[in-house]
Amino acid sequence: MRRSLLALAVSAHLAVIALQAFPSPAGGVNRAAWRDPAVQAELQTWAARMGLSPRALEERLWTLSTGWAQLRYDVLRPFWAYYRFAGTAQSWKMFVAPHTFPTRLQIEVRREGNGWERVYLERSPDARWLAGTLSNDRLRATIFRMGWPQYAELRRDFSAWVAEQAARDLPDARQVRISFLKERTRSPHEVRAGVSPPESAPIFVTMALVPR
Amino acid sequence: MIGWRRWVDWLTTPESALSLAIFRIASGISIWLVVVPTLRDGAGVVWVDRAFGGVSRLVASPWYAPWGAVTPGASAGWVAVALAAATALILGFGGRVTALVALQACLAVVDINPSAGGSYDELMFNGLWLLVLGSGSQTLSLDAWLRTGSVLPVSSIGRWARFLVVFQLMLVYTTTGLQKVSAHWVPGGGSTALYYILQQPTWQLGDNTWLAFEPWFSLTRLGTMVTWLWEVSAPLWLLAWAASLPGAAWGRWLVVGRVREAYAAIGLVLHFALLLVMNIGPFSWVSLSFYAALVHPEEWQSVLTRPATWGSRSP
Repeated sequence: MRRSLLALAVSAHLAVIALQAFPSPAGGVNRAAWRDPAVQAELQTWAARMGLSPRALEERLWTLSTGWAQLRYDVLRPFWAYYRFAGTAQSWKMFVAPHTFPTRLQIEVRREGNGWERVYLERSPDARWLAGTLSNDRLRATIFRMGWPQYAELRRDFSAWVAEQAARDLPDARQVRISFLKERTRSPHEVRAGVSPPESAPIFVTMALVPR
Repeated sequence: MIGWRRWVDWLTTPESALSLAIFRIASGISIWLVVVPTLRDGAGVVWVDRAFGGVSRLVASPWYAPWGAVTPGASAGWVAVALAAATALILGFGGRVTALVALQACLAVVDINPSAGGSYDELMFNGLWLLVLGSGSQTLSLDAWLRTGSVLPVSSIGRWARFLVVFQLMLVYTTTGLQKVSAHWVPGGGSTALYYILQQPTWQLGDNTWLAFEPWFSLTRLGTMVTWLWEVSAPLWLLAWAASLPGAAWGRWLVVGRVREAYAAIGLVLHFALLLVMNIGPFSWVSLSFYAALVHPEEWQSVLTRPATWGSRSP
């Protein structure tokens, strides 16, 4: 009897975690995120393969994804406490697609009577103010998320935090500007041919002023 | 009904507690590797609420912050508890209670800011819960020494405890593979996913444009194909592991073909390659801690006594 109960408990655990781990669009059902050129490029590729227009494929996927996400939510709801307090949540969407239009964080400051001066650029060997903190993998994860449109609040909070650090470290700075520069990653062919990055426009720019 | 009985018998088959004990030690080390790097260079601000100098607004549930705010002091307190419990876990002191304390402390401090989290956090939480369910301190522990006078007594536990660890790892690999639906990942799409991922500033260790040149570009394409196939076919690895268990009377071809060892070798190569070219935190180390459970207790025993004889069950 004891062995059967144990097997029942083990089986229940396996079922509950497998249910949550089952592939789903949860977390990615966001129209704004789908407008990102990297997502649009994926849609175009798959639409061409399937003989559909990108718009038609997107609409079908949207209907499927929203329905799937709702069904998943309803099915998993009874187990929420088990996922939350036993730490058994399962979300293994790791590098589901390469971000072919990644963002790069840039921080600039303006000192009295001067123009904007770049003090930080992600992975730059030169502009490295706050690089120690911002290179930590947890900050990297935060910065990566801020490159997506749905994280506006996170960008505002982060910008305010950067402004505080600037006020402390750069006392002659009057303003700070935080930008997320978006570039299409060059293809291997373009790199070999020495072609410059094809697009270079800041998609998300946040201004954080530090009045002195 | 016969199937259920066989399932119950299979799960409750006793085995040496050694593999789970090594997983317990690796899990304790994982906590240190997950928590401590965040405390360097001021990155601990991710675990503090914006109102108290953190980078973002954090809301903890009353269970984790009964005082109502995620202050630097509260965060430091949970970090201290997590690291103390991690040390006790490594030493094997306190059994399941230690694992539960470690889990709750890690959930309190790490899980509070999902925007600054990685999959390695979740994998670590899951591993700790499995140490709450299964007893990882039956051997190779202070608990064993206090109980029997020996640090390494011969001790048996049900196979289910180790199976849960192995199943969890395979679930991670399989479902991450199934969700890699980008045209850059799936066969027929050029297999350029790894090339492009390694160009993303967020995860780079350094400038990776050199990967556009041969033979490196072809190597990234090979890596893309191998990674995707290895992940989506991970259930075969689980079967191979089960077939290699002592007493298994099926799946002999999996044992003869050393499928379990082949998958593990690919996994080791991929995880160490990640460490060399990307900064994705301690994901590889946390994942590799689960590999301890893939190795059968008798194999660990032979490693500890005669390293040269390590291998799978004789074909």
